[in-house]
This record gives sequence, structure tokens and C-alpha cells, in this order.
Amino acid sequence: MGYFIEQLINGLSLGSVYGLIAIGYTMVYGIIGMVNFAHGEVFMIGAFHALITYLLLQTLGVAILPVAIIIVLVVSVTLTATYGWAIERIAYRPLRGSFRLAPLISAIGMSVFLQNYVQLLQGARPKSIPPIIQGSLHLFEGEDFSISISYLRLFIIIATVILMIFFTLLITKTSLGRSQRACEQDIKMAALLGVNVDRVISITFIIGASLAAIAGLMFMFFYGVVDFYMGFIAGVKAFSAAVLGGIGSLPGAMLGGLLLGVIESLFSGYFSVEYKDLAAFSVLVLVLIFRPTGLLGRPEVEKV
Amino acid sequence: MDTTLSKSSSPSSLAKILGDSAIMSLVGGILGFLLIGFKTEARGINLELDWRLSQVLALVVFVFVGRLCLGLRQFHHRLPAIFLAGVVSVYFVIGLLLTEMYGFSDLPLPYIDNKLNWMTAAIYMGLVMYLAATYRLKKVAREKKIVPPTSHPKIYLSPIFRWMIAIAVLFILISLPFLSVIDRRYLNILTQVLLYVVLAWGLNIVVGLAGLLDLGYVAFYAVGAYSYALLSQYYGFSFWLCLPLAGLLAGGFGVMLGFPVLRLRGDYLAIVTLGFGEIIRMILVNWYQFTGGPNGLNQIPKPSVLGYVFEEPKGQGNTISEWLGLSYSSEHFYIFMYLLILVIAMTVLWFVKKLRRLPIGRAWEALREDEIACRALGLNPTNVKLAAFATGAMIAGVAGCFFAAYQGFISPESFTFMESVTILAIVVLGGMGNQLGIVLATVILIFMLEFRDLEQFRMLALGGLEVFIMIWRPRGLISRRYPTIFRRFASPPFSLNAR
Amino acid sequence: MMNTKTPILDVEHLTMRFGGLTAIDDVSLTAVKGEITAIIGPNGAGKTTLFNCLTGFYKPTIGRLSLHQPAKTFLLERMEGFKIARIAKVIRTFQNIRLFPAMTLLENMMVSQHTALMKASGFSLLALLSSSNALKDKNGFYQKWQDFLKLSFYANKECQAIDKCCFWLNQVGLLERADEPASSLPYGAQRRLEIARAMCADPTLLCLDEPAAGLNPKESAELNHLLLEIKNNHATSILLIEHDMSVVMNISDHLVVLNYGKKIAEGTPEDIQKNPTVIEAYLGHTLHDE
Repeated sequence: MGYFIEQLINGLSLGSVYGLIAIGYTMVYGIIGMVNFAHGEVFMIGAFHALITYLLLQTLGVAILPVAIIIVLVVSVTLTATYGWAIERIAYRPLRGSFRLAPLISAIGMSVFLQNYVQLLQGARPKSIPPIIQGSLHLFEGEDFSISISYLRLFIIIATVILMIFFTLLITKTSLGRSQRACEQDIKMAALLGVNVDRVISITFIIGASLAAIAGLMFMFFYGVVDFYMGFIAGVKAFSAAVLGGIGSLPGAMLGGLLLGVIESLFSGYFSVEYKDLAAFSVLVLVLIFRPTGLLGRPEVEKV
Repeated sequence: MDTTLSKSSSPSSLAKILGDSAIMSLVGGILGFLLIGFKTEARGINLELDWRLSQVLALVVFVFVGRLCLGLRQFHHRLPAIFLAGVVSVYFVIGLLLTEMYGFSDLPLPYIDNKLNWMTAAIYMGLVMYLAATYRLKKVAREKKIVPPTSHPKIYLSPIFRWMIAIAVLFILISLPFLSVIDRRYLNILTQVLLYVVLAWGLNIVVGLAGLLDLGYVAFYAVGAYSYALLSQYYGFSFWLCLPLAGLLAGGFGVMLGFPVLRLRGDYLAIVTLGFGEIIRMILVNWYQFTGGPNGLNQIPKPSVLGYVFEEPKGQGNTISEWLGLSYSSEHFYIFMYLLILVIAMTVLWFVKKLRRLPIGRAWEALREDEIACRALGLNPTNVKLAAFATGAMIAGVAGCFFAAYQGFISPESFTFMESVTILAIVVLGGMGNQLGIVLATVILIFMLEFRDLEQFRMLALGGLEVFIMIWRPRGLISRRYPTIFRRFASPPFSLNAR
Repeated sequence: MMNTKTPILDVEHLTMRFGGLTAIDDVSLTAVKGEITAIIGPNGAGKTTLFNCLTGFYKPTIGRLSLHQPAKTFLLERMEGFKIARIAKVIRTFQNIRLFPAMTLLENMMVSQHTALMKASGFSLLALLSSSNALKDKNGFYQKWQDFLKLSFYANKECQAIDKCCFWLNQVGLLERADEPASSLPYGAQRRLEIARAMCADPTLLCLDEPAAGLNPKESAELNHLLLEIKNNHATSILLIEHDMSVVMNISDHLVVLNYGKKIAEGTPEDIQKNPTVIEAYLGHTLHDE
């Protein structure tokens, strides 16, 4: 039982990371109807930025942990958000009027480019650092088992909840959120009504990239290992999460992420660790075949 | 980026160009600051940072100058742009030549790795050539009249002439391995090129003709390869039996894979096929007992011709070299395999051209153009899509069987997502649906990047090229579509005066 | 009164609901074989929805759609979209023209003969060895050799198919441009091509969705001519959605008027022109108010 709860908590914190990345996928898909293949790479770049900033701070002698974390957060989110913005400007904006496969192919090309870009610059071997936040919180002490949750996991889950609340408020209450929802519904009409569609799309990408950067930061702090290939795997899994939750739906993305994290965690805990990626990919394939609208998504009616 | 063209050479437009360049270089600096400026190196158990900030500065300057040149061109200051780009490239070239000759140079070069310096120089020289070339073009374009679009090729070659060219090319290709200048390494490259051409022609059916973006194509390639390896190992099937068998097996896989994904459109289809491809690769890696796991399978038998094997003569009289009366050389096998893939490629080409002409080929293209109209005319989109998947998979299976026999060993390493992306890049670059374009694209991507020194930049260039092609020429290098039926095929009176 | 005309299409109590919105509300109509039946009504009345139900793009919430062929009656609401076109031979055109833009006119036309050609070519497999139709010399040696081996079965079929396509291209006046890509055609020509393509598929019921949209009066007159030609000489029943009254009133045998998803009137063109409910629906007031 204790093992189960431990795996469950593992899954929830892993799922939070997936959920944050998934939000980026779902927002971009909702607004321009394409899957941003390069988003997983943005996550990876976020993790690298966090790593490098952290090492830089260490070299410069900044030792106080909360200050360091805040600086790392600000720097890596800013820089990674710039990446997200740049990707949209370079690879997607020029292709807005093109045939439907063009942005997808461009996205794949961008994804490959970014992977190799980081690989060439930073080397192909995984980089690891010792865990940063130590210690855990004991929740339950029983006779056969005890449940403890590490501070880091707690941090991840709480941070994710705060971000979710923040962004839900952003989408529903602010005028920016309103413009964005308008663009999701009917982009041409929104443009005719005076919404600066280019800016809304750019901001969507920036938000998505920022969340992915935060996810990368969490991943880096938690697992302590980054390598240039992690973006691909995490990207596909996060996309599975977005689809599972219902693409186009923000709470769906987070829900999908948590679910997927739990499924993966339980699968690797109870069945086999080697095939855990297989479990994630299988979820993706099964959801897309049997229920493409996901859990919270709206079914699309074909317009003739 | 603002692309308004202004013919004025007023100071404000110059300020605008400078401003644009400054912004762009600033963005470049931000993007590259951490990732380029610092390198994480593992020393012992610690991770340390090496500082490379000069590289970031070099990038900023590079982007600034480049954007400045392009901006000047737009505002009709072409000559200053050419001058600027020319100066930079000359600077680089002189610095590099000095380094080559004397081992050092007084002109400081930004990158420690000279390859990067050469590449920067090449880019600037390319910029100079582009600016110079389009200078003339711009003038001509302004005077060009409007020509109504037709589907007749601009260069019309009579069928006899086309046949002659085809035969000449074929002759050259067949005789290549026998030339002394082509050694083992070049032969290997040529064989690789032909292999990728076959794979790309197969994927072309799915992506180019039917318009279904398949990112898991490499799975069928793997099925073909592993089929031969396993069938020859467990049942002793010969290569020639396995060749069609691998094709059929892969085709069956294609149908299996195609069934669930039929209702999905564009993006979802791509991701599901990607998922399938990865699932199959993971199974190959993990199912140790059956597929040999990450080590793969080796000692895959070479094909034999009419009972004669490609081995060293051991006095039994059954080797190829004895049969041909030549002294043994391992070259024979590679020449044979090259000719074999050439034959396979010609067969596939004939097959695809024929299919395009037949109703199923037309149905594929119609499906790509407008699926709803297809349904309204009575076509069953399910069957059409399945046929596309199956045919493409079959071709990949045959290619896989060849690959296994050629290399002698296979492992899941050869069947990654990156392979799928490479083949897709070839199809996209070449022009979706166009056979010749694909050959051209393969030559460019595989042949030219086989240079050892540039190997590490290959995938980077591939990704960048894919993005670039989509922006510049989305239909690929050769985007012309050749129709398969003409009015002159009808009976009179309809065919009267048909071209 | 005994109706001596045989119905080709019976729509009985058709209702189509999308969530809370009722697009078609209990509509029943009959189209007579060999006649031109027009469905008219203000925008949003549910006309295209009706077509979509007929051709399998939507599944009706309630209702029965029967297509009567001499041998068999097909229940369209139960059939899959493409089967309605392939087996029941109900072919439609679209409001926003749906051609295959990269393919030539002739190729566009050939697609509609896909089923027949697939059968003839053994699902394209057996025809791999057959000669292509590039041979003009039908009595030459190569051709005779092919005939001997019975390999030219597909080539002959293809010949016939091409001739049929050219015939219809000629009917709509596009024969000269047969080898040009469909995207290069002007708007009116694209519409005509769509109709020609539909006719190549040998429909029993031809459903045209606003064929006169965007046509000038001369082109509309040509369209009338074409549709009458189709009705009279090719034994095809036509179901027509149209706004252009010069087309509707001149060629229709029977009119059905829809408004807000309900059928409000039905009859001959003369009857409908005088019908006060129809006038009110279109103009918003009755004659008495003027």
C-alpha cells in the first residue's frame, strides 16, 4: 500500500511536469490548429538554460538557495520564452497561408535542428548534477510502511497548482485571455474585429515556452540529469497528455498530464521499467484511435 | 520582420535597416548567450562551465552584418551590401589561408574550430553571389510578361530524346563500379544513395501522392530487414525468396498500421505513425530473445547467385570468383549489391510510374487534393489510404531486406525516428510526388554530406534545410506535377488538334 | 389522384438536430424520376444540411431517405457516404467548388470513373502488365501482341473512359482545355467542370448545390441549357438547391420551399410564385401590406 502511494505521488509530480509542457501544446493547437513539434525541444532548452544558469551562479558564488532558484527561474524562463517566440517567427509565421502539411514539416525540421544544435554546442553526453533540494516530509508513519514526500516533489506540485490557477485566471478574466479565446474560435473574425492576431499568437507561444521552461527547471532540479534527447521523449509524452485530456482544453492538458504521469509511474513500478516509455506511447496511440477528442475536449463536426 | 519595400534611400530607411539588424542581432545574442556562451563539461564527478563568450559576440556580429546586407538589398542599396559581404568573406578567407600556410594569422578569427570559420566564410561568399545574381534578375523580372499557366513542361523533350537520356544515364550508372576511380568507399556511398532513393520513392507514395504524413515509415524498413535476418536464421530461406516475402510482410504491417489511423487527419496521423514507429523500435530493442535486443542480429547470410556464393574459394568450386574465372576479391560482393540495388530501384521506378497512371494512383492524388470530393464521387477513402500504406510499406520492406543482406548485421540503431525524418526530408526537399526531384534531393543530402569532416553537421543541416525549404519553396525543388493522361489519348473527334 | 410519375427519391419526416439546434424539422418531399426538383428558401433554411443528410455527410436524427432504383430501393440514411455515391449513384456538387486543383481537367473527370476502372484493371494490380494507352496505332504490332495475351483489357477500358470524359468536357465547352490544371480555370468554368465530373459518374440522382452562384446571366442561361440537356437526354433526375430565380423558375418541374428548417410550400413554379407564405418568407411581408 505504501509502495502504491509512493508511486502515486511519484506519478503526480512527474505528471505535473508533463502537464506544464502539455499546456503549451494545447494552447498552440487551439489557436492555430497545428501541433508544435518543436515544443519538446523548448522544454529541453529550458532545462539546459536552468542548468547553465545554476552552474554560473555557483561559479559566481551565489550560495543562498532560494535566491539562486529565483534567479535561475527568471533567467531561464526569459531566455527560453525568447526561443519560443523566435521559433514561431521563423518556422511558423511565414507558413500561415501554406498547405496544411507545411507547418508540420517545418516543425519537424525545427525540432531536429534544435536537438542537434544543443548536441553540437553542449556535447552528446548527459549532464548530471547532484540533487539540489534535499530532504523530505514525512506524511505517515505506520508499522509496515511510511509515506514520505520529498520537499522537491512538494515544491513541484504546489508550484504547478499555483501556475494553473494563475493561467486559468489569465485566460478567463483578462482581455488578453479573451482575445486568445476569440482567436481560438474564429481567427479571421477576431482579426476583423481588431484583435492583433499576430501578437496574440506570439504571446501564446511565449506563454507555452515559459511553462515548458519552468517544467525544464523542475526536471533539472529534480532528476539532475539533462541531455539533448530528452525533449523528444518528453515532447511526445506531453503531447499524449494533451490529447488524453482533450486538445484545446487547458484543464484537460493538466488532467491528462497527471493521468499520464500516474499511469507511467504505476506501470514502471508494477510491471517493467524498460517498457515504461512504451506505455506512454501506447496511451497516445490508443487515445488517438479510439477517442481523439480526449476526456475534456469538444468533438469536431465536419464542415462541408 | 517588416518586409515593406521602399524605393527611397532616405536616411530614415537606412536607420530602419540598422535598427532591424540591431534588433535581430540582439535576439541572436539573447538566444545564444547561455547555450553558446558556456559549455558544460564533466570533469570527474563535477560539472563545470567553460566560457565561450567570444563566440556569442561573433554570432551577434555575424547576424548583424548578415541582416544589414539583406536589408540594404531590400532598400535597393545592393552595391554597398555586396561590398560589405565581400569584405567580410575576404577577411575570413585571408585569415584562414594564413592559418593554413603559417599556422597562425594576425587577423583574429572568431571560432577556434576552423571548420566553423570556413562555414562562415562560405555563407558570406554565398551571400555575395546571391546578391550579385539577384541584381540582374530583379531587372528582368520587372519586364517579364504574364504567361498563362499550363501544365506543359517548359522544356519539351520528345519521347525519343527522353529515352536516349534515360539509357545514357543507366549506362553510366551500370558502368560506374567498374571504373578504377570508384573505390570501395565511393561504391558504398552510391549504394547508400540508391537505397535512400528507393526508400524515398516508397514514402513518396504515402506522403507525396496520397498526402498522408507518415512519420513511422522506418518501422516497415525494420520489418523487412528483420524478416530476412530471422527467416534466414531460423528457416534457412534464401535471399531471393525473402526479398518478395519481406515486401509482403512489410505490406501486411502497413495494412495493420493503416487500419487504426484512417480516420485521423494531418497532424494526428503524423503523431500516431510516429508513435507506432517508436513502439516497434522499442519492441525491437527490448524483445531480446527474438530480435537480439540492442545488439541486433549479425551473421546475416549474403545472397548467392545460382548457387554460387561470394566467398573465398575453398576448393569446392562453388564461389563466384571461380565461376567468373577471377581471383577472389571482396569487391565482387559490393559491386554485385550495387547492381542489385540499381535493378531494384529501376523496378520501383517503373512500378510507381505505372501506378500513377492506373486508377489507384489517380485516387491517391485525388485523396490528397480533396478527400471530401473523393467520397462524393464514390471512392472509398479507407481502401485508398490502406493501399497507399501497404504499397509504401512493401517498398520499404524490400529495401530493408536488401539492407540486411548488404550490411550483414542489423540493430535497432539503424531504425530510429531520425531515419524517418531523413527520408521525409528527402521527399519534402525533392518535391512531393516528383520522382526525379527525389533523386536530386537524395544526392544533395546523402552524397554531399557524406564528407567525413561535416558528418556532425548533417542532421543540423537537414533540420534547417527542411524549415528553409518550407518557407522558400514549399512544393520542393522540383514541384512540377506531370499529368498521366492527355486528351490526345482519346479517339477522334475528341483528340483532334490535341498537342 | 393517381400519380403516374415514379418517384426517385422519398424523404420522409427528416429531422436533423445538432445539440440544441434543429436544422431540419420534419421535412418530407418526393422527387420524381426524370424531373428537375428544386429546393429553395432563404439562407439558413437548411437546404445544404438536407443535401448533407442525403449524401451521407450527416447522419439524420430522425427520418427515412429512400432512393428508388428499378432493381432496388436504397435507404440512404443507413449507408456510408461513399457508398451512396458508388452504389446508389447519388452524386453531388458543392457550394464551395471542390475540384482537384493540381490535376488536369481530364484527370479530374477520370476520377469519377474510378470504380469502373478499378474493376477493369483488377484493382490496378492486373493492369500493371497491360500496355498503357499511349498507342495511337491501334493495329500496330505491339497492340496485336497485347491483344493476343489478353493484356489490353485495361487499355481498352481506359480508352472508353477517356472518350466518355472528353464527351462531357465537350458538353460543357471545356474540351480544349482538357490538359490544363483545374486550378487555372475561371470560376464559371470550374462550376461547369464540377457538373461534368459528376455526370461522368453516371448518376441516377444528380444533386447540385447552388450551381448558378456567381454566374452572370449569360452563364446562367448556358447552365439552364446544360441541365435541361442532362434531364432530357441522359435520363438523370436532378435535385437542385438554388437562389437564382432565373434558373429555378425556368427549368424546374417541381419546387420545394424551406424556411427555418421546415417545408412551407411545394408545387410547380407558377404555384410557388403566387404562394403568399413563400413571398412572406422571402420578403418579410405579404402582398396585402404593400
